[in-house]
Amino acid sequence: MPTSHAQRTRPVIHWWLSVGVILVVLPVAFSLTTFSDYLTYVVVRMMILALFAMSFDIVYGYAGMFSLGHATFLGGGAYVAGILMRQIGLDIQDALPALLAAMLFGVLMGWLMGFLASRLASPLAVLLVTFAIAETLGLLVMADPLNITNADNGISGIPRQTLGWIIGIKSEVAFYYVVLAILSLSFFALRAIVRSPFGDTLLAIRENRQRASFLGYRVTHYQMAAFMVSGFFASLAGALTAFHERSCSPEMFNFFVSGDAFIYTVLGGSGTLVGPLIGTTIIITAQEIIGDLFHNWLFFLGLIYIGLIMFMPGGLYPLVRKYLNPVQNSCVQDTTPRS
Amino acid sequence: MPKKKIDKGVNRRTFLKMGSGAMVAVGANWFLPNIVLGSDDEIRLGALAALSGPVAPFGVEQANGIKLAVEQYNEKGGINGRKIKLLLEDTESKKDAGLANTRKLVERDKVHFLTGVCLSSIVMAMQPYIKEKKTIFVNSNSGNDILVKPPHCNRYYFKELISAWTITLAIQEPAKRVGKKWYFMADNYTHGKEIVDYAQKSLKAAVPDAEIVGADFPNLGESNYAPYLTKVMAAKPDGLFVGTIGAGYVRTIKQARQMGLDCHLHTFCWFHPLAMAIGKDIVGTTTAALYIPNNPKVPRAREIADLYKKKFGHWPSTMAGEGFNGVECIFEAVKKAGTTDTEPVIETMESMEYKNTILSPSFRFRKSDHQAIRALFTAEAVKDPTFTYGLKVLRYQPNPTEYLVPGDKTGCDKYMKF
Amino acid sequence: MNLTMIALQTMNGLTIAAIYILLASGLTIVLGLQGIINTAHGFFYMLGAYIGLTLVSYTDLGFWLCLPAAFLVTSLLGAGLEASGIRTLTKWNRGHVHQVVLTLGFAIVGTEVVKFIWGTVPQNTSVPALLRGAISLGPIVYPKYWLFVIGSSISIMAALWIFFHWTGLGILVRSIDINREASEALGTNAPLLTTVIFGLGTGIAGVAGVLAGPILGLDPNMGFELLMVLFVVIILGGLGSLMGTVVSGILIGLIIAYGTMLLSGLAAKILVFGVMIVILIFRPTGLLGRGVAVK
Repeated sequence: MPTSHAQRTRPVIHWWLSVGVILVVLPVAFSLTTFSDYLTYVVVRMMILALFAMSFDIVYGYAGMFSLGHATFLGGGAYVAGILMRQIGLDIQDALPALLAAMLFGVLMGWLMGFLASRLASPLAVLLVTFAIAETLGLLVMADPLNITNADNGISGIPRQTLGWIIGIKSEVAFYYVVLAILSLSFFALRAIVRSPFGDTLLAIRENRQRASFLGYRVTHYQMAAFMVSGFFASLAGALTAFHERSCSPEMFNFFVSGDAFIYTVLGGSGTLVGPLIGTTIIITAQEIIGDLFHNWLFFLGLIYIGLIMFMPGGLYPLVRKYLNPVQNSCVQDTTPRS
Repeated sequence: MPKKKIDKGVNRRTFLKMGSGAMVAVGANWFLPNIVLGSDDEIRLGALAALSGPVAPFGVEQANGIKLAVEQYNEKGGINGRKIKLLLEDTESKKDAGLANTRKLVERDKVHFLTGVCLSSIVMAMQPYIKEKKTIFVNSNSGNDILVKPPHCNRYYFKELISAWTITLAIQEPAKRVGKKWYFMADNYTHGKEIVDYAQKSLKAAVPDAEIVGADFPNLGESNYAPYLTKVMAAKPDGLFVGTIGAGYVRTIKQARQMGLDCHLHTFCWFHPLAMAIGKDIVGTTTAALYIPNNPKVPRAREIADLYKKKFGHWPSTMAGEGFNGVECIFEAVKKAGTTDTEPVIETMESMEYKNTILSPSFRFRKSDHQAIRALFTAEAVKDPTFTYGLKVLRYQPNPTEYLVPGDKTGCDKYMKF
Repeated sequence: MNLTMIALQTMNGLTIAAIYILLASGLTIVLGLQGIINTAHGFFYMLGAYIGLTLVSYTDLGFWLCLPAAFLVTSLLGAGLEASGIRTLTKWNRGHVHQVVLTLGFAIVGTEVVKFIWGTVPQNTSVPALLRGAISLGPIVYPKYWLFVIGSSISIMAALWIFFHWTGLGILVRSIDINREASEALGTNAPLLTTVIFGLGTGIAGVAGVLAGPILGLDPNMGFELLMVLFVVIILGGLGSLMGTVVSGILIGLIIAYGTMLLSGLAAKILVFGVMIVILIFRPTGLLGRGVAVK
């Protein structure tokens, strides 16, 4: 990206602040309604999926690899948490070990996926292999050979008491603030990562893999690292989902889950990190409303797929940024990967 | 490039306007139901069914049955003078959507009762929630017996479907007729394994020297059953227990007959639209009939079936019957209790005996675990002038509880407490 | 495990392979020769099956006229999709990922429309009267219709091979693959030919749907279920290679049949994915690929 970082940040700082304030006071506003728990629940889901979409953006938007197997991390993270909390007889009531275990799982799984993906010649092959991994994991969870995943019934009744033995996360509102904190921390961590030399190298590889390797970068290592970073945060989102819904089930490995991450990211604008946040907010809100009115979300989802790819592959965030900041971004290029 | 101040201002203002406009629209949509629902004159029934996703064939039928039952009550003037308002939500055959919509019904729409749902994974995710919110949930159509075992059973959950174990008793009648060697096949998932286990026990109970020559579990949603059926043919059984569901059920029977497998077929359960899809190959198979539209023991079933046919254009299936019955289970109890308050209704449901339901002459919920106890019909599929393919009852067990866990040994007592 | 069992299991493998090959052939010519990845292929297969069902039930055209009718409808729709959407993407120089998303979106919307028209309940078409029953082949007895499906698959593949190697149009298509600019400079209308070939591919998928209907049954998810296996088949066979598709289709069909017999259905499914990953990493050109890696 050609504009320098300092220049880009300053003028939009009050936007950041207002978004932050809105998010902080949102549960208070909800408490004025008669169904505040449900509203909070929906917004928490939005935030968890936004984290998931941001992690997808690292692989797709920055490293330029289309993973259709990101459900591996969401489902896997959820199952790691579920199994640890509920299935193996450890009487842990605290969420922290489960979150840590899920993140470890994410890094390992990210290593495996990255290892395979970085050795593949083409985006299509990456897509197929990542898809196959998610599908295989879903099949294994469904078949339950080790007797720990409860097959199709999934794991239910996952306890949600404390985080780190200090913070109570039992109520929806408390969990909301915890997820908000995790989301913000993850966002700034990811932003630091993509603005580091590592992130620039990823972009270089995305733009021209061959040239990057001629410059001496070990492309496969960078791609693997991208998958590991992505897996770390995506599995964290998975574990949070397990605590959010207090259950997990095999359809979390469905390819529609991976597809959703793509849609959230591309609608908002891929390769921007803010894009996935915007995209998730819009899609989940639309899903709530359309699902309420028509009972046929899939049809609209299909239309969104088509519409996005045909008319708005760059996403919303670049447009928004242009409105907010017409000068500095006038020369920003289209950041969509053309894989 | 020079800075265009005016442009920027206008743009941002437009942007803000659009944003706030959208917010208002969103807000209106979300808050509207609550304002409309303000009065307590009506009874709100929340129904969840898989209107989309892989189990939609069952969910849509279930929803139809629920709609018809509610319509019937409202035509007769409602319950104790109060109309029923049906709020139907889609589970999308997914646990997360099912749970989210349950929360929407309970928290936003403030429903008095919940019904529907066929996937047991969704039910399991819902159970702790309805317990917390103290909302009665009559679950029509989930067969899995785990749902009424500890730690899942609870005071607010009622399992309207007969126990899976009881359903498999239907294998006894054909077993006595066709022979001793049986092969078992069901989908590779919890319920599939559960029903094969139960069916084998039921078989052994009726025919002690029966021989189980094999059991196989194809992947859920398999398209080609020929490799499995070849294994069946090699085992040369007298009877094959078919426990595959949905499209798999159709494929198993069609492919078995095409490949020339000529042993007797006993299917786990009857679903009329799938029988129609199978066509003439279904004739001669035996099954557990949970709902028979022309049930001689319950003349009322036929009236309802005719009403259903008039409303939806096709004959009701088992799922429609179960969905219908689930609604009746709630509102007959409400009628008797004279209130929609949770505790009196639960007590009434636990103690009352439902007479002349469309499924069975007599129907009750066991107090110990809220498992439904009702008649079981073993039937043979026959050609029928009205239904194209219909059922002929072979065996009628009015009160089949002999293989159930006894009521005092369910271990649910501590979960059932108020 | 006796000989009859093995023979029967082999025939099962071949029957399912026949359907895979038919479907994969459409996918491989489109992907291998034109670089278009069509994830809506399974949707066209499903649509073909439903069109067959409707024509058999509501008209007296019978099974035999369903085949061309399904071909016509699905190929026109496929050509429409290519001309209206994919061509634009190609013009904008977008990659495979965008094609995947566009065709996937099309398939999702199309599947919902099919569900709206025909319902979600699984349905079945019956075997045409002429092909009912079974005939004995040495030690085994096998359904006539299943043999007919194998036969149809062989003849359609032969026709395709002749088309691509011996007819002028087929050779033009291959020339576009070899060098699009040169071919266009010589006066070939490349976009039109792409549309035609895309339509041919989806048309074959529609025919496969009609043929598979009586065996595999019909339900709106039938296309998505098969799509992954089809990708395995075309990658294993080598993109664009008809012979490769035949060989790998048979191989995958047999892996599934024997894997189910010796291990379990689950193991067979995972084995297929394993084969794909290994092939993609170690031999991205596939078994009989002409050096065209998965692009």
